Amino acid sequence: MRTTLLIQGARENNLRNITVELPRDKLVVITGVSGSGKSSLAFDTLYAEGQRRLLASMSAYAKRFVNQLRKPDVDFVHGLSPVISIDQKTVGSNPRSTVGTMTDLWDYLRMLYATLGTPYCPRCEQPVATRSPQQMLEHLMRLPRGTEVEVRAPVFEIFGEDWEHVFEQVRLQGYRRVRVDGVPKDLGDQLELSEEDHPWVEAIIDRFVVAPGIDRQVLASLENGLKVGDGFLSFHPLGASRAALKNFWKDFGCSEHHLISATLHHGNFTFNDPAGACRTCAGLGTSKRVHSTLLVPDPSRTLGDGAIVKEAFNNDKNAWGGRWLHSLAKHYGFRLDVPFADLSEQVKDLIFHGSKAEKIEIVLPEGARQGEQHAGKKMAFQGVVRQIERHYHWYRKQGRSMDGMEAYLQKVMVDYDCPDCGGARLRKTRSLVRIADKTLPQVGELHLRDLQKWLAGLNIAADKTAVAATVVREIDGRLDLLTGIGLDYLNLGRRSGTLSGGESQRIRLSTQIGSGLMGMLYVLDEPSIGLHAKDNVKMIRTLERLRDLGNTVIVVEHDEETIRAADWLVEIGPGPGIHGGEVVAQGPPAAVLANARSLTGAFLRGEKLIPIPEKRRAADQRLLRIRGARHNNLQNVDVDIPLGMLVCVTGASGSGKSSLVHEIIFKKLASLRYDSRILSGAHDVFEGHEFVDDIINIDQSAIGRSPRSNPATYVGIYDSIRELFAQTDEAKARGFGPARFSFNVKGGRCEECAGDGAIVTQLSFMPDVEVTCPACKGRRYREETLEVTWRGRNIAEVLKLSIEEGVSFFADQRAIVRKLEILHELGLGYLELGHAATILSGGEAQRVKLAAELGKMRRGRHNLYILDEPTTGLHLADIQRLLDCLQRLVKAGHSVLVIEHHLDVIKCADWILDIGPEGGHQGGQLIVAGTPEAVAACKKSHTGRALRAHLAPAKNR
Amino acid sequence: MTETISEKLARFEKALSLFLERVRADSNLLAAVLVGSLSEETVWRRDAISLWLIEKDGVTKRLRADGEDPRVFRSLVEEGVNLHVELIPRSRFKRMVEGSARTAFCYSFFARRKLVYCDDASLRKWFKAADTMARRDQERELCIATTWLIHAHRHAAHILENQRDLELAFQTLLGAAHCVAAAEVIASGEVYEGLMIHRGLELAPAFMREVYLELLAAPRTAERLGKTLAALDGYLEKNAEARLRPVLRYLRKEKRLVPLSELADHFAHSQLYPWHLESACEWLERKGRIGKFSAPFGLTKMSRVEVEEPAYLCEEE
Repeated sequence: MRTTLLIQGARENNLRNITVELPRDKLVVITGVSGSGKSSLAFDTLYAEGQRRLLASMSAYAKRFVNQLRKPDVDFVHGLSPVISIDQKTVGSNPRSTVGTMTDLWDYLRMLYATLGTPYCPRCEQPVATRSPQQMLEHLMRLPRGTEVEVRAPVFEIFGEDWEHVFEQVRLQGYRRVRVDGVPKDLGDQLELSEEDHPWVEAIIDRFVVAPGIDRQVLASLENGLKVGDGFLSFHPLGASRAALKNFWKDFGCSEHHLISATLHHGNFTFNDPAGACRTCAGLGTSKRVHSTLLVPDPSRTLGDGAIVKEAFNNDKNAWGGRWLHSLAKHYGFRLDVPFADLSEQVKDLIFHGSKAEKIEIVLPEGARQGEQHAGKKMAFQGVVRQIERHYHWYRKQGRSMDGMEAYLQKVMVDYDCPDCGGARLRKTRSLVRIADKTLPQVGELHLRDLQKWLAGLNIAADKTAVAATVVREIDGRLDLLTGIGLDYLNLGRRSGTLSGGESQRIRLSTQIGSGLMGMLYVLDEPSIGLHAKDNVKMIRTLERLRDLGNTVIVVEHDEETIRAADWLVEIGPGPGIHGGEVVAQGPPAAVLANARSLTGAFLRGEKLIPIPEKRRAADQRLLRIRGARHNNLQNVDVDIPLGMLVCVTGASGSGKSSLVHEIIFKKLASLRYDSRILSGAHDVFEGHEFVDDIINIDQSAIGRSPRSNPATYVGIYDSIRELFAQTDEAKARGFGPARFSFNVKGGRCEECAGDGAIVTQLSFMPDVEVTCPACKGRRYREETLEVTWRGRNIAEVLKLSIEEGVSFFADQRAIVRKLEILHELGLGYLELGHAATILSGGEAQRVKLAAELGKMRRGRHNLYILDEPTTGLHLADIQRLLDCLQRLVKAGHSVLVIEHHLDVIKCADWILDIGPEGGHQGGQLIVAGTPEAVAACKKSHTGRALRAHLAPAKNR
Repeated sequence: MTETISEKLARFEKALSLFLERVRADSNLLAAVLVGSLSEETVWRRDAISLWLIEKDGVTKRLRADGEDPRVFRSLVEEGVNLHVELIPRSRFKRMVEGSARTAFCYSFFARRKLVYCDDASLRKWFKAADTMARRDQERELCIATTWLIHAHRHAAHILENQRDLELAFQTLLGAAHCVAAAEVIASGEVYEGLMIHRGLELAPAFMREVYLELLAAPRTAERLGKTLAALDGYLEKNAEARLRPVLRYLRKEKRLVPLSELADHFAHSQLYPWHLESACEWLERKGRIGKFSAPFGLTKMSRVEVEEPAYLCEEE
C-alpha cells in the first residue's frame, strides 16, 4: 500500500515544476517566507487536486449543484485521500451562527433537552407531564362514553403587542371562541383588555363527545391545538365529578391548572425555525432601538443643513421633515442655523422625542412648493426617535426581510438584547423546560469547562439512560476536544462572527477530530495563529491526535514549536515570488534545520535572529488614558498607552485584547475623528485623543475585492502612470487622455473581456473554464491603446513589470519611484505592478497597506497605527522586515499599537500591556504594563514567563 | 312555453336532490352547503344553484383555468340546471368558518346558507357556529356598505354639479338608494334574500321613500336631485359613528397621524380593503371629523425618493 503522497510537476503560481514526496499518516509542516509558494503547494495544488478528483467522481447531475474546481497546474498527484481544508477564514457575519451550531453541540443539547427536559407549568411552575397527541387521545378516550370534553390551548401574550393583535393572530389560525379567565368570549365581539391586564386566555380548540369513531378528528384537533398553545393544551371534561377529574389528572399534567405539554422534540429548541424562535427577535437574540448618537453624525452641522441623518429625517423644505423643523423652530423660538451641538438639551429632546401632547401649527418653509394644504393645521410632533421605532415595529410585523429596510435600520438603530427573550433567542415557553434547574439558553451561556462540570453532575433517570447517556457521552467528547485545544473560555451561545480567525479554525479542527474520520488528508493554515504560547502545546497535541486517528495532516506553519513537533518538514523558497517556488529542503525537522540552505534552520539554529533593540524608547508626556474599560469581559480596566512608541498588547486568547484595542481604543478615536455614530465599548474615561491626528487600522484583509485592484492602484501610482502615457506625443496626437489607459473604463480597454484579460465560461456541471481573451491575448487593452508607448513599453507591459523592475524603470519619476521603493523594501519587489489583489496573501496585502501609509507620511503628523497579529503568514525573515517597517513609523513620530502573540515581536516592543490572566470571564484584567524586561520579571504573567527565554542572550537559548 | 315559479322551483329542487345523491356516493366529499335558499320567493331570479362542497384534505383537483387563485370554482349541470360550486378542502373550511382572513367567509346578510348534506359531525358543528352573527363582523360589513354609499353619493354630486347631466345623476342616485337599503339590511342583523330595496323600504320607510320612491316619481330637476343628495348626506352624517366605527375606533386609539398604508395593514385580514378605508377617511375629513395630512412613502423597497400618501389624524375621544 502506498505510504507517500507524491506531487509531480507542480507549477501553480510561482512553483517551479517541483516534485515533492510527503509521508502519509504523518504530521507534515510546510514552511517558508511569505510568498514563497507554501500555500500554492498546500492549498492551490494538493487541496485543490484532492477536491477536484473527489467531485469528479460524482454524477453529472450532482455536479450541477456543486461549484466545480479547475484542474491545478500539476502533472499528477499520487496517493491522494479525500481532503479537508481548515483555513483561517472567519465564518462570516450570519447572526444565527454560534459556537454551538458550528460544533453541532447545540444539536446534541437540543436532543438532550428533548429527552431529559421537564416542562414546567407556565402558571405555577410545577413540573408538567409530557404526552404525544396519540397518548393524549388514548387518555381522553378512557373517559366514560358520552362525556363532553372541551379542548383549550393557552394563548400567550406577545411582547410589544396589545391584546387586539393577539386575538387577531388566534382568529387567523381559525379560532373564534376563547375563554378569558375562564369566561367564554367571542373574538368577533369587541373585547376590552388593556395592556396592563394579564388575564389567562385560552382558545377553545374543539369540543367533542367521547364516542367511538371520532379518533381521527380529535387527533387533528389536538395537533392543531398544540400549535396555538405552543406545545401546551388543557382538557376540560364538562360535568365530570371532582373525583373523576382528580383521577383524570393523576400523573397527567398540572392537576391545578389542567395543563399538559406535548412530548418534547429537538426541533422545539431551535431558534432557526419560526416554531421555536422568539417571536420578537425571530431567533436573532437582539432587537433594535434608536440610538440618538447615530442620528447626528456631525454635531457641528445645523438642523437646516441636515444635521440629522437624511434617512431618519428629511429636512428638505418640501418634505414633512422640513415643514416640522420650521414649525417647531417658530413655535419654540430656536434657530435652524445653529450647530446641533450648540442647541439646548430641551430642543434636542424635542427633536428626538417629540412635543408630547402639545400641538404645533404647521408653518411652511420659505420657498416650499408643496404642502400648502397643511399650512395652518395643528398637531403634535412625534419625534424622530418615535417615528423610527414605529417604522421598525411596522417592518417587523410584515414578517419578511427587505434589503433596503435592513440597510436603513442599520444606519439609525443599534442592536441590544431582545427585550422579550433577553438574548435567549427561544420562545418563552421553551424556557419553561429545564434540566437540573437550567434552561437551554442558560446552558448556552456557560463557559465550556463549566458546561462539562454541569454535564458530569446530571442525574439521569433509569428509563432515559439508554438514549440520554449516548447524547451526554457525545457532548462530553466534543467538549473535551474544544477544551483540549484551548477554547474552554468560549460558550456555546457566542456568535460565530465575534470569533477570531484562529478561534474559528480551532473549532473546525476539533469538529474534524470529533468526526473520527480516518484515511483523510487535512490541510491547515497556521492553526497556531491567535494562540498564546501557553496554549500552543495543546494545539500541537490536537494535531497529533488527528494524525494518530490515521490521517495525514499537512500544516502550513511558521511557529517554532509546531515545526519542531513535525514528523516531516518541507521548506519552500528560497525567496518570495519569482525568487521562490523551489523545495529548499525536506525531511525530518532535525535534518532540515541542520541544512545550510534552510533559512528557517538558520533562524532556529540561532544563526539569524531578530535582534532585541539596544534600548527601549522612553515615554514622553503624551499618552492615551483609559479608565473603567468594561466592554465584554474587561473588568473595569485602567490603562495608559504611551504614544510615540511601539506598544504590544498581549495575553491569552479571549483575554480581552481585541475588546480593549478595537472596541474601545479604535472605535473611540474613530468616533472622535470621523463619525460620531461609531459606538465604542463601555468605559468611563478616554483622554489623550488630542495627541492623535489620525487612527489607521492595518489588517490583512484584501486590498480589493476584484482582480481590477492591484498594488499600483492601491498605493496610488496607477493614476500617475496613466498620466505619463497620456502626456506622450503619440497619445496627444490621438487625443488619448489618462482614462484611455485604464482597464476599468470603456474606451481603451479590450471590450471583448471588459479589461479582465480572460473570459470565463460557466458550465453547468464542470468547472468554470477560463480562457485567455482571444481579442487582446490577455493584455486587457485594445490594440490602439497598446500602440502608445512610454520608454519603449506599452501600458500592459508596464503593468507586467515587477516592483523591483519598476524601481529602475521609473527612476526619475519621483512620485512613482518613492512608493515603489517602499514596496521593495518591504520585500514585495517580486510582485507585478498589476498583480491582482485577489491573489495576494494576507501578509502581502498588509504590507501593501503599510507601504501605502509609509508613502503618505507627512511631517508633523502623529498617527496611531493599529495592527492585529500582523505576523500571521509571516516567516521569521518576513517578521524582521515588518518590524523594520513598524520602527520606521515610530521613528517618523507615529505610534504603533500591536496585538501580538509572537515573542519575537513582543521582545522588540517599547512597552507591553499584558491582559489576562486567562480567557473569558477569567481574563479581562491588566496583569502588568511595562517594558519587556519588566513583563518578563512579573511572575503572574504567562507572557512574561514565555518572554524570559527570548530576552536571554542567544547562546543561552 | 314559460314555466311557472312553482315549476321552476320543482325543477331546481329535483336537480339539487339528484346532484346530492352523486355527492353522497363520493367518499371524498364530506358536506354540501346550499348558498341562498330555494323557495318561491327566491327562485324566480335564479339561473343556477350555488353550493359549497367541502372535500377531504389533499384531493383538490386544479385546472389551468384556476390560475393563481387558491379557490376552486366549478360550473356543473344536473338535469339542465346549472350548479355553481366552490370546492373547499376541510381544513380550509374550518379556518374560513372561525378565522379572519380575506378568504374567510363572513356572515352574509343577503343569502341564507344551509347544510344540505353532511357526513362529518364536526363539520356540522362548525357550520352551525359559523352561522352565528358577531358584532364585529357586522360592523365591518356595515363599514363596507357605507363606503359604497359614500362613493355613489360623491359620484352623483360630481355629475350633478359639474356635468349637469340630470339623467345620469338620477341613475347614480338610484344606485345610492340601493346602497342605503343594503346598509339597512346589514344594520338590522337579519338575513334577507328578497330584493334588497324592498326590505330597505320596510326597515327605513320614511327615508327610503324620500331617496327612492319620491326620486322615481318626481320630475328630474336639478333642485329635486339636489334635495336627494342633501338627504343622503344627512343620512351619512347621522349614521357615521355607527357605520364607520371600525375606522374611527382605530384612529381614536392611535391619536396620531396614521398613514393610509398603516391603516390598511391593520385591516389586512378583513374584507376592508384600502379603497374602502380611503373612501371612509376622505368623507370623515370632509366632514371635519378627522384631519387629513400626508406621510412620506417609498414606492419601491429600494427607493430613496419619497412620494407622499394620505395620513389621517383623529383627535376625538
